[in-house]
Amino acid sequence: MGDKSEKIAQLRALLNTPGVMGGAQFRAVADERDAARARGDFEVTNVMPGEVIGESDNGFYLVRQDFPLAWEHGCVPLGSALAADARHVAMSANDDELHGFDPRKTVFIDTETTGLMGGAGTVLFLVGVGYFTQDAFRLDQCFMRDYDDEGPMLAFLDGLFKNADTLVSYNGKTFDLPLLRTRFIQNRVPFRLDGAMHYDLVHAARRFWKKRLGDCSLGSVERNVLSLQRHGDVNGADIPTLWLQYLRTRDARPLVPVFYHHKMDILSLVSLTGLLSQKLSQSAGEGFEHHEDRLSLLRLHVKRKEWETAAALAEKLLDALDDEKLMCECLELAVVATKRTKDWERMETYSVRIIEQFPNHTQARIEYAKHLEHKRRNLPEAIRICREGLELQNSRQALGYSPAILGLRELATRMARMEKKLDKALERLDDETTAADDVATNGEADKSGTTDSNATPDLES
Amino acid sequence: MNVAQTIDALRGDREFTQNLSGWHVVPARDARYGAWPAGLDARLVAGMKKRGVPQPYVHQAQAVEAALAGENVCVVTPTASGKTLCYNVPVLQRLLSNPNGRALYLVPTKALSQDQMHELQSLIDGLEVKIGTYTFDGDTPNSARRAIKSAGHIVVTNPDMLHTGILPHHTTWIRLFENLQFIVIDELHHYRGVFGSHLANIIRRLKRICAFYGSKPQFICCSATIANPQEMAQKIIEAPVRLVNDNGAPSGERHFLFYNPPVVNRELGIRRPVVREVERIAKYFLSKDIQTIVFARSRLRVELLATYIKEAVKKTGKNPEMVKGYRGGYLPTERREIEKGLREGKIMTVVSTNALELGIDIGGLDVCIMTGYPGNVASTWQQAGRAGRRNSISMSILVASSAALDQYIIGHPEYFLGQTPENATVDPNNLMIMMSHVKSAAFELPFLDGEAFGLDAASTEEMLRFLEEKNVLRHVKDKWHWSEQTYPAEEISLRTAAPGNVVILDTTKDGRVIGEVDLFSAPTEVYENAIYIHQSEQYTIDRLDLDDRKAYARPVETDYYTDAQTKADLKVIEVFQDDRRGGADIRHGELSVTMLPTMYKKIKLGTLENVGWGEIHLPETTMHTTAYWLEYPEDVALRCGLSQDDLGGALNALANALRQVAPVQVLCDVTDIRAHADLKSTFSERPSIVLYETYPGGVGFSEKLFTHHQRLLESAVSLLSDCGCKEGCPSCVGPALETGQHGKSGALNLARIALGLDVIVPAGEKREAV
Repeated sequence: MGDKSEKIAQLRALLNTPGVMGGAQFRAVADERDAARARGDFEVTNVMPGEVIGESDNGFYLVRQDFPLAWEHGCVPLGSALAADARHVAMSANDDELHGFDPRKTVFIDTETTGLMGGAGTVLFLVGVGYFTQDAFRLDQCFMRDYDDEGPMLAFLDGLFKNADTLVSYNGKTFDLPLLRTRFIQNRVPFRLDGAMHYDLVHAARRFWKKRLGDCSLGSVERNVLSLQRHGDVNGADIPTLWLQYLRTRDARPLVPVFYHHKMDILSLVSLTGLLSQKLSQSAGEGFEHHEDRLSLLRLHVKRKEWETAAALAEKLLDALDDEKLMCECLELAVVATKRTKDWERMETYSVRIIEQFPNHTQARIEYAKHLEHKRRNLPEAIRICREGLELQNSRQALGYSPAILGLRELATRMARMEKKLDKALERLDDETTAADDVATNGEADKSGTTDSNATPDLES
Repeated sequence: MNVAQTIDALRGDREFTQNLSGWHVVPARDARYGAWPAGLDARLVAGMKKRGVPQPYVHQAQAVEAALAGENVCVVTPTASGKTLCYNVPVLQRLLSNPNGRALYLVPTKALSQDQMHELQSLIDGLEVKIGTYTFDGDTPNSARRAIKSAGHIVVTNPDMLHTGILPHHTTWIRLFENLQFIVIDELHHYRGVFGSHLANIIRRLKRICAFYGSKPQFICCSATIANPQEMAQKIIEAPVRLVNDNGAPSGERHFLFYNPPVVNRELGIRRPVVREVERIAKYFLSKDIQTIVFARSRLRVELLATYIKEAVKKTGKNPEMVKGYRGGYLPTERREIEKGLREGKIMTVVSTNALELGIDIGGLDVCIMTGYPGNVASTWQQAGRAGRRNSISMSILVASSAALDQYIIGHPEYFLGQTPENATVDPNNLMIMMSHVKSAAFELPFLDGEAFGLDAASTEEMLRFLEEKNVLRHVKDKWHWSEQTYPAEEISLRTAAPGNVVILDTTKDGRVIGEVDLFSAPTEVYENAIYIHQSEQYTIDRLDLDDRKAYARPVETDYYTDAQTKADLKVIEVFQDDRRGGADIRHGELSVTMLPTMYKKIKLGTLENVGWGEIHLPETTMHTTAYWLEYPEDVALRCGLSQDDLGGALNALANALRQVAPVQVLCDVTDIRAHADLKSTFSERPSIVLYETYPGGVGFSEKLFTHHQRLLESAVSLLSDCGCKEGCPSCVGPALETGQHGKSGALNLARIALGLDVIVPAGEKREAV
């Protein structure tokens, strides 16, 4: 009996805790909520500021917001995208078509969907299009209150796309754009964006920041590059369910964070475009504070075969670097670049540096030996480089490393070949010297040309 | 010695011929030619001449003509009769005149799609026109997919890929759907039962999407010999079909032998093991340098036979590499090598599962030996069709195992030869199957009010409403939209009827999925210690997790298989058809079946002896399905001169026999149907025998059994009368110990009563059967 009254006392105490309700009260609250929903109190029209475009039963819901150009989103203002240089855009995308990039003819796009796997039945219930107007950045968030809003929404989007020749997205090439195209096809509306240029920032982001950040999702790039913190965001994987539930409850309150999330995604596209161009405007990558990012830029220049720029950047970067691993890759890229610009002096300096700093870098030795042999015709030096490498690797092999990994075979064969070549050349030199002596002894004036025994014989065989 | 001489030698071999129940000769046949239809592109005609086809056989001419005239065609001719030309020619003709045209080829397996491609490609190369043909399946790399979607004129794929990879992504296949001219379905007979019912619904979705894009493709189907190819084709494509079955291809003289291993134990009805018999016969042909293919029904048997024969070859000092095993589980490179070796004559004997039954080009061999009856007539003809080159003599030998069905067939060679192949069944309107596809279809294109899928608009709307109640669809204005965030096609297996299957995982291969079973069938098929067979390979089930829908399996090699015993509780929900034949009522209708597995038997392969048992501890499951059943009058025991106990045994015996011979009438596997007998059934309180389908909703087997009831019972009577055992054996009614002393004779009488015949009592007197 004592037990029972104890229990009752416990329950009574619980009821006094804020937020805890008894059954009847809870029921009442729930009923009131259901009634409010049925009245439409929480419809999107009452929860998000916007307007119905078209008729109530033949339209869609538009949430439009104009941002001043000075609006800071992250560490740069939105207007920075207006100053984005098309050359930077093209380079960061490694897509020369984007040389025609004009921010005033560009749409920044992101979508929220009912499924993360695509397919003909996935619906884009929230499509955001951002674009610059005369003196602002306008964000149009187009929202489907139900499935039949799709037609009018696509017609409206078609109008927005009319004036654009470029679209900017994050991972849009694999996700958003095919889905958008699918919606247009399903509704039999022609899809203009097929002919447009596409700046998909995820690829640019990976090129610069994958090495340093690892995770190049928009969220990660936002935090680490744009220095932006979101407040009250929603988990992307939950979004599809939220809309599907809204259809049944007509309660748009859980969708508010979805609109926020979506808006932030698009604003980030704008800031990123501006910021990236700013960073790229300094030729030697000084726009990037982190060395890894500058190295990534160097890598991109090499990939794009921009040898002069790469060489110049490499030189500056090498001065700044102190991390060994970065240094090694930087030197490798520097060698590649200077080889192409035929700047042999610099190339040799870099090659020697690699070999000195990273004596186990067999590949570098092989490359340098090749260069010495064919371009400098300096066989003895080439052979010395190889021999040194072989000796080093032999001792490593003794410690248990596999010869294949150490590149021993190639070093050895190359060296053997060169030694043979050198021997042959020295033989020839001997013969010629003897012949010259004979001539001199015979008192004939130098008819057979001088042989300078100090010069490296011309050993083209 | 050549084939003809060997055959003569065999005829004189008494030891061999005394085990034969039939030796049938089909005389050689000359080719019968037709003419290409007028207007066929000259390049095509020239191209085919180059490939050794100056003029078409009659069936090829008919098929091509009908297809180009706009009809749907179904070609039913044996293997190696040039069926592929029947569809390649019309397709290429259309593409030549319309460079934007497209065609879709549906092929059951990947290996076959490779073959199709080669065939097509060589024909196209001869035309010197740019026509792109590609396979599109799970192995197609992403980089190739875009090209195929936009530029592939002929896309070769399989039903699974169509179901999950193409239809749900139709917006990326616009070029294909807008211009689709032909859909080719090869090996149509393969799509029976559940698989066929799924295919019919996939075709419905496909046609729906074509209508959206404005195309109306024609169908060209190819089938092996079944009793009702036209019916099958029309059920699957839901449109009229022109049947072309006048085979004009030539063939050499063909010998069919029916061989029954001799009995070694009369009491128990045990015969010499089929594997050793086949081994002897195969060795004989090998010693005569005659190229032979041996078919076996399990991987174990394939490996055993290949090993035995190889060892024998080694002993004679010849190269054992000329004997090879073959099955679907081998790597593609290995299989290509063996196929090549066969074509080039380097491999003299190949032992294979039915993997080599379907079309892969291996040239023609001289002799085919079948280890056990392949299960149905169509497969038997396919396998036998592997023997026979263009104009030379060939031989096929069916060696029976102890299974009841085998014994029935071997006892009735005339059944086999006399044009009564089984009826294939599909039921596209099985509710569960159709519902799965309604979901997929809604994902692909929203349903419109008034639209009909399979059935009429009202029935379709009922289904849509049901799905809306489950929040799967949402009805807005006049459209029904997909309203979930998942992807319907992924959850639907085309091999089972109900969603929510139990997947079977191979624990030795990182949990790779090797198969699926219906949730309902799981307790009786994948219980712990069950032997599960997949593509002729054996696995044992270590653990079954019903909640998680997973069964964990491990490869094994055993000489037995397992058979679960269940307690079943049946309730009649609705009777569709009702008749009284002879002395029993026969019915066809819907039942609710509650199954509780109790134990399992271990049954030795080959001899079918009972070699052990085990318990099953699993909950009961309930499902609705269709069934065919017999109800006897209450005094039937008296009429047969049996006690009540004996009547129980006799009912079980007959039920077992009927289940074993059902495949003779209806193209099904023995596992597609279960038998149940009751002295006092719960629904009628009378002695009854029920044959119910193991797929929820049923796929049409019961209806066929009802329709062919007469023949079904006659086959059972035949089986029982001809069986040499005294009181029952595994080859007819099941072991005598289980069916009782008078099990066999009682079963015979029950069958006779149902047929309206006189009863035979032990004393030899006859009694009236009224």
